Amino acid sequence: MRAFIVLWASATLVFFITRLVPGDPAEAALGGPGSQASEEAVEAVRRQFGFDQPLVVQYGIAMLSLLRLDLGSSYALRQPVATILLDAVPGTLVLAVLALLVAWILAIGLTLAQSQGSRIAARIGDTLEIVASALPHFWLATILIAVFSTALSWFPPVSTGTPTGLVLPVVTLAVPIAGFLAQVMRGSLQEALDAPFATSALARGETRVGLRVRHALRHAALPALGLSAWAFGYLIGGAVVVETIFARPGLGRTLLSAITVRDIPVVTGVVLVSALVYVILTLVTDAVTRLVDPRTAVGGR
Amino acid sequence: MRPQLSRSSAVLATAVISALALSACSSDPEPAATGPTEGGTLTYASGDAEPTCLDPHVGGNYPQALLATQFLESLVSRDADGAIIPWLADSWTVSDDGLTWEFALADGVTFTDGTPLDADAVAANIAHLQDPATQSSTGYLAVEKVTSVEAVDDLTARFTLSEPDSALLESLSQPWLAIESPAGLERGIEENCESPIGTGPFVVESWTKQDRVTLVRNDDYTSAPADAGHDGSAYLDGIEWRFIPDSASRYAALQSGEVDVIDNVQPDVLVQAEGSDSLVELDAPRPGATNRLELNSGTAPFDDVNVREAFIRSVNVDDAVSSLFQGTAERSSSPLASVEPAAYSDESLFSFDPEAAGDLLDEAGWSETDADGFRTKDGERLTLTFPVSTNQSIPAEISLFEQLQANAAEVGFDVQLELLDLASWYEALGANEYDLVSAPYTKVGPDVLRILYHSDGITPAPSGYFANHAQVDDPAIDTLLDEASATVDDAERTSLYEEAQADVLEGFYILPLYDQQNHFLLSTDVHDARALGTVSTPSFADAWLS
Amino acid sequence: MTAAGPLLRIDGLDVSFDGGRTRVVRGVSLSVSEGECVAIVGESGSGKSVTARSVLGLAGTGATVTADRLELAGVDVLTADERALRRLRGGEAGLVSQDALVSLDPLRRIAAEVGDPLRLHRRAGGATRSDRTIAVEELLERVGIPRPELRARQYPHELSGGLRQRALIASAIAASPRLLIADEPTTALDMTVQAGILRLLGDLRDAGSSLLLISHDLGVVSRLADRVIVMRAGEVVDQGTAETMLAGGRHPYTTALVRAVPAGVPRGTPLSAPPSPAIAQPTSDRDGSTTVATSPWPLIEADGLAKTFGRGDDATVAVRAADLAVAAGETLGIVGESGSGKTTLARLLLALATPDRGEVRLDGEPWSGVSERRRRSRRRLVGSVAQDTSSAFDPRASVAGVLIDALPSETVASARRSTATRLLADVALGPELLDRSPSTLSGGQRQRVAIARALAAGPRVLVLDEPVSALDATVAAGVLDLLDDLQRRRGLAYVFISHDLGVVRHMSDRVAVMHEGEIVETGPVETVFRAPRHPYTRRLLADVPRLPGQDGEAGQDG
Repeated sequence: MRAFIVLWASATLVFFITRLVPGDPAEAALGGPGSQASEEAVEAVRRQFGFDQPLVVQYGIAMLSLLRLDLGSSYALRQPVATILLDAVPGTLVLAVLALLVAWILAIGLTLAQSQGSRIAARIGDTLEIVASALPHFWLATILIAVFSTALSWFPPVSTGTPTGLVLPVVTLAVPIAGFLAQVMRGSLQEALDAPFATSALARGETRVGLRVRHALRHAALPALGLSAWAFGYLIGGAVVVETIFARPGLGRTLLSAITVRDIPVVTGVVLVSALVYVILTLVTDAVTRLVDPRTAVGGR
Repeated sequence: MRPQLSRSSAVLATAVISALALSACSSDPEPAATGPTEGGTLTYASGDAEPTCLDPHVGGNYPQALLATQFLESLVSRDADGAIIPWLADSWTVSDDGLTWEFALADGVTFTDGTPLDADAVAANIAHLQDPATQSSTGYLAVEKVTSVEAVDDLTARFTLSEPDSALLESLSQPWLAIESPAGLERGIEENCESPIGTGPFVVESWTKQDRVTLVRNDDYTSAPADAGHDGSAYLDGIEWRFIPDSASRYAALQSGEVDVIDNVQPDVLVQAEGSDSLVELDAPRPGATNRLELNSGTAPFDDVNVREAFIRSVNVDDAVSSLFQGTAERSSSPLASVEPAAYSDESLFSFDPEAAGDLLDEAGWSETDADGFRTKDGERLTLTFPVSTNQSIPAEISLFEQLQANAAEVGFDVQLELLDLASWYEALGANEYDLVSAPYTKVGPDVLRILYHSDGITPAPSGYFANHAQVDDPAIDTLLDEASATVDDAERTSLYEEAQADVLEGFYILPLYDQQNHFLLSTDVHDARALGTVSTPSFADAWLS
Repeated sequence: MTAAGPLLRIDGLDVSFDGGRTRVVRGVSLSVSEGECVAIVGESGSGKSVTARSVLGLAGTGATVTADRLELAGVDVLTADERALRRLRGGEAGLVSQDALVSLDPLRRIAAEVGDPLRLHRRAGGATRSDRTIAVEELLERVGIPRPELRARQYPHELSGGLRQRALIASAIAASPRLLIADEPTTALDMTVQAGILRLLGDLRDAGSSLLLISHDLGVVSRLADRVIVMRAGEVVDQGTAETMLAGGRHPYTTALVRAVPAGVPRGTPLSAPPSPAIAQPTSDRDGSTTVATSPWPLIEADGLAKTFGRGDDATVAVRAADLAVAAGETLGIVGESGSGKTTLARLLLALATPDRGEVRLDGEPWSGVSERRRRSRRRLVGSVAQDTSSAFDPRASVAGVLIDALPSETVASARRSTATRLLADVALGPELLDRSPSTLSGGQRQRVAIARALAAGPRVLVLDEPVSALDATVAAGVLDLLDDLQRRRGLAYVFISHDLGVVRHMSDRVAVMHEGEIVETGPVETVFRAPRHPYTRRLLADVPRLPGQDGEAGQDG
């Protein structure tokens, strides 16, 4: 139920924002802004997409279509929005999932490396995390391309067909997330290592490594798990920049070009898909958290 | 249409000389003595926005032209000197009153779907452009005066016009009026947008959105334009046409060898590439208007010619261009691109003279200065609104505008730069909320002057767009432009256009900056690529890879 | 005692933190022989826990540990390397901490925690997973957990407090260490459960394990210990056999500790003043007559209170059909285990929760059923003091701020500070504390401030919910004496809620026993304690650990 409200609210917001922003949506269908198409063509387009109707009517029609799961047709691309989205989603999904995975690995690695207690390691790790989480995507992407592609030729800058082409964009997306996750994990890890059960474990003869891997890591992962749903949303946003720079197909680029030409159905579609993904992910992380943390399972003691 | 030699040779010279000079600068220039080798796929990376429809009849913008050049052809073409040359039409005649044109089509040419190229096909194409359902913009405007096209016989098409149009051939040379297979057109707009069928050296095989268009060689190609390098099918097996919006990534891809050719090369990249042995530049300015600032003479303060002149004299464009474009762009003082034979320029009008500017403002009544140093008149500040489209102006150009803003501020102009996205920018223009604007216009031939400076151009199109941003409303200019459009005589046409340009410049309606920049970088493995003399799009019909 | 010497030998142990600045343990020496149970008794800050953990080399991060000798099973703990230490931990000595809810990893199953020592010490049955499962179930059974195969698969929060603690013990003894270190093993447990755990520990000791028991509760200690060591401020101040120590020992501190235990001490006998047989006479007796005239009219009464939380299947009945009445100058004690509904009842009396049925009346007027607006003017008649002193105050306020906040709004601004000073004096605190932050005060001082705050508005009824449970024995003694004094001087009515039977017995005139939301028995305190009628009351009383020699209860020992 809540999910439905989120989606409806997103659709309404997009509807009004896209119409309040300057720019005539009819031009999207006429070859883009600045079109000099004929009078009849313009009229035809306005009638076809209902721009001549009052705003309230347009809103009603739009919402009804969405309820029927009809996302409509793109103004500019002459294709059903659903097709456009289906084509674009895999690209972004692959990037986002891989980036989240890489971010987790980086975060866990950084957290474990710091957990030895050395003050220098903690300081370095701290700085690394803060810097990483603050890095803007476009800057990071440019640096990575300059170093690993142009200078070292290890990875191609804009390859879309090969696995090696995924490396740089995934890393670009993963690094800031890794920074956030590591900060959160480190706090929880330290808390876990100081907790009474850690003492109990040590008192049983547990090794330092065993303590971290068998006990503390699970505790450290919990808040990071919660953060992952948010992180995924952040990733989809970051996809706009990363897909543009690395010339990869995906929702981000679709959104960008749709906004530029005011292709409202596509913009709405992308926003709704993102909202949907976010809702699904929140549910998924909830379920995973319940799996990992038995205290949150329904019907505890 | 006899060419003027003076400016036009420069185009070909520039292209060839740049290529040779750059390769000569490298240690070991690759000799092309081995001759064309068959095979290989060229990868092209475009920085322009991906077209929404590959059929250039629909809408009609430059990204479409870039792609369409590979697989579609027009009735006529234009050579490097600016002369109209045969292409799909072998020859043509025009009646004395200018209202009837007859085109004799090349024999034995077929579209890649087997349909023959005949007069009916031509008629179908023009009809397609004029059909509102096609939603054509550029092509539609170009054939506005065409009332009908008949097939006199299989290979002769007769165009009947409502008024004489001296620009018809130039219009027909553009990719936006390319001739497509009628059977292809009949498939409907959705299918035709995916893969238009033409007569060109390549064929559209597939289009993966946001990724690439795959083109393969047309083995039955016979219809090269008159100035092509060779007849017969292309040497390349095919072209992978990719879309890479980010300038740095595009260049990185070129350097890494992932792509062979890139366009939209910006000044900083050009400078970097100068040092490279493996890259070659192709400089092909777009035809039509130059990049210029238009001063809105329809509203205050620019409704006063003295204020316009004052502004123009207050900015140092030469310095700004040379420092920000680092030698990759040359200052222009003409309304028309340097590739237009009819271009007329007058540098004296654009000398940097802040003192004279100040005097002019005093004369015009803007003699007082407020606390921030800006001029005022009757308590109102001398403010100029300048909306800038970030989609059309590259960073170097935006920096140039900022520099001009600073120059003008010294004299007392408060220039307000507004960075807007494309659609918002068009809104601002449509609502007449601007004093300065830079709006490039690409068209083959000097007829673009009519579009930009005839008072008719102030009337908005049905979509709200209008082209005469300077809002020039001068009966004298109107008459010159009307006459030039009607006359059939080349020399007279050129001189009329020159007069019109002089009037426009002397009216201080515009501040020319430079040609519409259109730089390409190619790997030295690519040979014999050239830019067409029409809209300066690259053609790979003669190209081969080593 | 084997010929090899004591199992554990500590000579001159010093533990400090902060690079030597804070000395927590000074020069402590003790030994534990095979089969012996040694108890370390002390209040918070005495260093007893740190001492116990140092045995395993787990004194804490940043600890500097030095000793003339620290040997466990013949191994020098101070010079042992990591591997040797790991062999000792769990192998030679096992640790049972307090509160199994946090001492067991909440994210791991019981079987994992209990099975770990088997894996780590490669004990018989530790080889494969299935072997371990069998061994774990045996261990769980041994510590008295019914249905071990079910419990082994569960997580700590799914077990009750008592079962959890047993599981924790199981994990400590899994690898059959010879010494079991139990650090406050029964704190935070209900009385009945506590008794069970102590029996288990006793069984383990009888079976041959040595036991190092750390506790602040003398009653607990008396059940198990052979020898008792008393620590204070990091040092050993007294040691000897259990009987000697529990009778008062040799050191005055030991004597004070013993005296501070309220169980069995008549009301009115100060718990904290120095002993003097002549003075130790009740100034009020338990028959109800007091030095302050009180009226029999109840100040606060409740009729048929009921409160349920949640809906449908998740509904929990917190209180069902509770009746009570308290008159001025009288203390009604309410005892019950955790989950009995005492706290909910307190909230209902304070009108912080609305009863589903029944009503509360304050001084004859309706209290629970009216709107808050109408109650507001009478709020000052009821004060409350709760258990948790550390979170009772706004950490940024000063003591003066806290008190002034609680003053009735009519107080003249200029008189506020002097009123606050007077309030502090009433609770035997000096005015120098006015500008300090409550977090810098000791537990006992904080609780006194809480009482002062409760008194600020001039209430006639105080609801005290576990007011001394978190305090050390001697400190608690002082607070209880203070409360008693205040009541006699001002004729306050007290509702005194606690799970500690001894404290309740000492403080109350009448007592109500709560069990699962119901008041199962009420009556004058001595009557209920000496002749309980309800079976639950009997069970409850049977489990109270008491010191030897407490008068009058010989017939009640279970």
